[in-house]
Amino acid sequence: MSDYAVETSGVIHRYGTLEALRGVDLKIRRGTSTGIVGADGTGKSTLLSLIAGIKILQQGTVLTLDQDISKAACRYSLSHAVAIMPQGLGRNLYPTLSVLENLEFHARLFGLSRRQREQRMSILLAATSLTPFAERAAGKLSGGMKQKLSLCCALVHSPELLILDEPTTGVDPLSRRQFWNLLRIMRNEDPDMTVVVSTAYIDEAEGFENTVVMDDGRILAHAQTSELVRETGSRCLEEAYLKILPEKKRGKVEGFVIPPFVPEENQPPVIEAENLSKNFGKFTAVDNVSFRIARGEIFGFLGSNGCGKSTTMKMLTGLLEPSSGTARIMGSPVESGDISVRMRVGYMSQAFSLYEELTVRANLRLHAQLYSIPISSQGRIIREAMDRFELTAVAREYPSALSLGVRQRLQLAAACLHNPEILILDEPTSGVDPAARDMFWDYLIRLSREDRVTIFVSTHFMNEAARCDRISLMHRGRVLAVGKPEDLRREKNEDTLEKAFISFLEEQQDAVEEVPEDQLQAAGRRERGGSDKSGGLFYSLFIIYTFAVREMKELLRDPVRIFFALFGAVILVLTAVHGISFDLSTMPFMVIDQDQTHESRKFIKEFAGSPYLTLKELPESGSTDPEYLLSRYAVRLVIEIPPGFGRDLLRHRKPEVQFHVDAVFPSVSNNIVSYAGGITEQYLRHEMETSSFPSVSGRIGYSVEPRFKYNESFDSVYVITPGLIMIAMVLFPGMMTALGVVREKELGTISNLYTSPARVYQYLIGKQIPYIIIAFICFLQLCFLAVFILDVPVRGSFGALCLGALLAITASSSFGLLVSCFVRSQIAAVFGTAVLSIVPSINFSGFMFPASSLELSQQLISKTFPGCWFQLISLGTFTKGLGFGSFIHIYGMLLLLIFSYLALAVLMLKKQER
Amino acid sequence: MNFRNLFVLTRKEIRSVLGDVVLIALMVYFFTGAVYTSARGAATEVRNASVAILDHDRSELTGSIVSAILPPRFKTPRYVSDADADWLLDMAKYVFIIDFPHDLEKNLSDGKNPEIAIIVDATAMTHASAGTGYLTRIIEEEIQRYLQKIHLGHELPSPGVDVVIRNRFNPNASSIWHMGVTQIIGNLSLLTLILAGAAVIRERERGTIEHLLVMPVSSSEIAFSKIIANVLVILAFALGSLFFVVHGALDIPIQGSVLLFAAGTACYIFSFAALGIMLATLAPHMPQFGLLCIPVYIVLYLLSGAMTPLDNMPETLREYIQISPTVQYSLFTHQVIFRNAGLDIVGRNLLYIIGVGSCFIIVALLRFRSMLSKQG
Repeated sequence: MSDYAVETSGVIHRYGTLEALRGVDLKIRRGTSTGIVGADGTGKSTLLSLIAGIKILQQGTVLTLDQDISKAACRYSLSHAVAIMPQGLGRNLYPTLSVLENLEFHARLFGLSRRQREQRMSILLAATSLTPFAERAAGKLSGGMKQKLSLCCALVHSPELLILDEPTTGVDPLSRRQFWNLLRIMRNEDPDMTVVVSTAYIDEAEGFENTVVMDDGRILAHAQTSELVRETGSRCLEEAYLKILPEKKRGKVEGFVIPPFVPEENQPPVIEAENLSKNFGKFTAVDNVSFRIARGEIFGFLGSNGCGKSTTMKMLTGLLEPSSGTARIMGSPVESGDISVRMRVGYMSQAFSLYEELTVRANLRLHAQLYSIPISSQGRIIREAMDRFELTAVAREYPSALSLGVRQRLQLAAACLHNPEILILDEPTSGVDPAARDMFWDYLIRLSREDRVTIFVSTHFMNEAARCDRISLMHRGRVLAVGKPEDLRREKNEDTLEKAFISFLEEQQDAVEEVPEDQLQAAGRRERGGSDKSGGLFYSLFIIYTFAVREMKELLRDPVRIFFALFGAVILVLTAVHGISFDLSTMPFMVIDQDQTHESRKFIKEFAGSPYLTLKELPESGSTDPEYLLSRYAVRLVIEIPPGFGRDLLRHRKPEVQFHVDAVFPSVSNNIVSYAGGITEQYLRHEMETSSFPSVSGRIGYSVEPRFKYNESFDSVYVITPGLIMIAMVLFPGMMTALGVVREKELGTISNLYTSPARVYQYLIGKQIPYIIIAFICFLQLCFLAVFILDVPVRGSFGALCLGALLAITASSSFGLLVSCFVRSQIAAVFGTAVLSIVPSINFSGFMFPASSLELSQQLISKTFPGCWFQLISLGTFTKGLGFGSFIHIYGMLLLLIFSYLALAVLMLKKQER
Repeated sequence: MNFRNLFVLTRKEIRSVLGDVVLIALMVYFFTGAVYTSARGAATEVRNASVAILDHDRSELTGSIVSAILPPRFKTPRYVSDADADWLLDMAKYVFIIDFPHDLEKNLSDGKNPEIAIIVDATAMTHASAGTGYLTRIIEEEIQRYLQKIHLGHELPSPGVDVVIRNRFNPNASSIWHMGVTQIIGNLSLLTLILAGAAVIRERERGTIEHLLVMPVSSSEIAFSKIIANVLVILAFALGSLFFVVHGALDIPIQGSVLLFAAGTACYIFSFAALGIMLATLAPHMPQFGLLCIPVYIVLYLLSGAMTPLDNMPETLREYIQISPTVQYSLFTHQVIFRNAGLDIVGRNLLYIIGVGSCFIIVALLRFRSMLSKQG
């Protein structure tokens, strides 16, 4: 065992043409804590992901806890010893699962026994004071609580190496302080644990033993934090950091000079909120909030996560309607949705809300166009904005390739592009590096003072709050205090605004979260051996079970999805069974009688008397072109009787009667053709019986006897019902699982697969189990529907049918997962599964058309889908009366399909990101 | 409505559809390979029907009957054994088994009334009835020819009518023609529904719609831009498919005016895209939308009269289903592509399609903002 927890050398990483890491050599000693600081997009996250082994290494070597992360076996054993908390608020949490369930899921993935789990979970929850919220859904937690829960999830298996990627970005100061306290105490209790943290808050990095300063994919400095400060002759790390950085990236080292704000006399307020309230159900998000903001003022909004800042801002932009109270922008009420007001407002939301599928430049261009910036000046304005927000280098990149901070800069650039008179900015600087933050503020101050732009901004940074003309403190939907930052600080007699802020909050009893020291200590105590169970069949099944339980919980909390999963197929079968029919019906026809004799009228009468045909009168006037009649009057047959028909018939001259058949539907026209022949024969027989035709001897002795098997009555319901059950069981499970993987990729929870010791096949199998259960219940319902409502009995073995259904469902849900591993977007997943499975299961399965008459290539295609196999079982048991014995080879084929789909899916889904 | 905004937003929509490479690949397959294979594969008339022979006679007569069973209607028959017969029908390997009894030829010439059985899998609804008719006729003709030969045949006089069949609009009553066009109807419906709906859901899931709604654009501009973008993209695919696959590869002549067809298709895509957007305002996220879409699509498609004629439906259902734009569109398509109908005949269908589409879009617009406030 070497002294180093992490050793990297020559690590280079590229995203397309963008070089994120340009040769990183880094050694981190075991048992130390290290903070990584640097500007946005300098490769901090990339480096951390590589160290954790969740990103595919491109070049160089990375040894983590002496394991080479380029080897799959090493990564697997590492996953028990390393924990990584990904960037973004609660990215590894499942929003519909409760706090406890999220934690339990992680604990199970690492194979902790029930006793270990309960002990560990209760300690961690107590230490983070999340115990009272154990039952709350993770999606409803505030940002700070989400991060604490994320930390719990990361710590649940007592890792040797803990990697935190910007854990406090977007978290309010109070929660941030609690978070670092928690981590500090845990480290004290478990001094062997190595901690690596990246952060945008330089002052936070001061608390770590070592500091790594990164810039532009390289390491600029790596030393003990205290030494770094001393060497550069600085007072604090923040100053040292700025000195290490290249000159042009330092931002405002000397601090800001903000000209004092002088309100204009007798001007109405630009933004006005009067007793604004917003309720979501029983929950009051904003409670009676009032304020007025004058032209050119910078108004700051502070408060803990989830206190109602964003909701208030959304009401001011008209995105949400207030439950009561009024909001006015430039004198006019917001609700009116006045386009001219919107032209004068710029808004930046907390979450990234620009288009991922457009490049940086295209996003800005879209804004320019929608805000009606003249085409002649668009190019110049976009260029200027990209220069100002340092986006020129990434103009052709897509936002998904950019780091959090760069994305924020893009959003701000978009919000300011059209020179609005009001800017509403919701946490514009969270995740942005200090230099860029200074640049933001420099720009905002200029806008305010020179162009008299009114700025309404929310932030978690106290130094930013201090730059506002006035700030408002919010807590639990209410405004605690409004005033100049300096006045508020003095009011509390604190030396910094941050302390004043915390003491304001602490007056509110519910904000204080006292954590007993002994619990914190217990939480830090390491209990090794959590992973005894790893390896072995039991553990493997346990992991599958864990994934299955999680997926099932998520599914059960989505009543709409359950409803459609259960009843969508029932609706489908009920409608379709009434709509599709191969039964023969009456067809309208017309006659053009050019003979008009007794004979021709008898001939027509014979046709009119047929139960399959209905005579329609020829229109009085207009064309008698047969094609015209067919298309204009929607008749399916036009009979054209030639002049002299009667005469020729009596003289045995075989008159020629033309039958014009509408052959658009070949199945219909075939039937009409056979009716035409049959009815003509019948007519001739009648003629012979009643007239003076010479008698013809009957048929010479033989007979051809058709014997219709399985469905003697030719009733199509016995064929269509089993077929529709087949279609439902092949389509629905696939549609449900198709979103499984790609959705987790889009939402970020896929990182749990990357970081845990779970194997891909365990993940995939676990994920599909709930859908198999739901689909099977649905199948039983369909059987009930068939037998008791549609009167289609199961003539063969019901058990054989059930086994077949189970295998078919599993096969199609595996197919859905395969598609899900392959596609990049949820749309492509839904569409792809539908496209790829609908044709083989409707056209090639033997449902509509006999499979035996397909061409060879089509038969081969259809055999790679479960539809054609299950069709044999469904029709075989329902209508043909077959049992287990007939289906042994089909069961085998379905198993082979399941295995092949899953094997392909496992190959497609890497346990690392690119 | 501001037309410049509409133009800008539409361009953005088109760009984002064309940006997803996997999606485009799927669309191309959907309008080429999928149309071609399913048109060639599915036969509503009796084509390529599979026949097995149980020949207990092994005579010259049975040989001549078997050799008269010919493609394209039938596949070349195979001889099978008694032991296999049941299993082969159970597993749908064959639809017809002809059973020639022992001493067929001998009994026939002795006048002993032999019986030839055709065992039919009556669950193969599309082939069973018509195919039995054809087979019976073939057998009877061959026996007649045989009898005439042995009796040194004198032809019996019979009265008759010469039945001349003129298959209109589809001279060979080929189901390839029918299915080729049907596939386009089905495929473009599915694609329109999913693309238009997903365009709304994606904006909502990624939060971009929030941004869009604070900009100086109205929600009707947003909705219409999505519809126009889909109409343009899908219309291009559908017309391409019509020319290169249906007309080119499948060799189906297009009777009517292509311009009229294009206009009607555009109306239909508008209407169905509006339905997709309406459904998307009802479903909060993709998994729900996917589950909502599939039954809606399959029910509308199966009941559209594109696959099986409306004439076969029960009376009341047939009346109600006229509301469905898919029904009107498949009537329209058959009229224009095959029957060369003009606007005087199909105008009514188009009005229907546009009317229903307008209702969808009104509901969607009414729900647009309330859908947002539910999110918070």
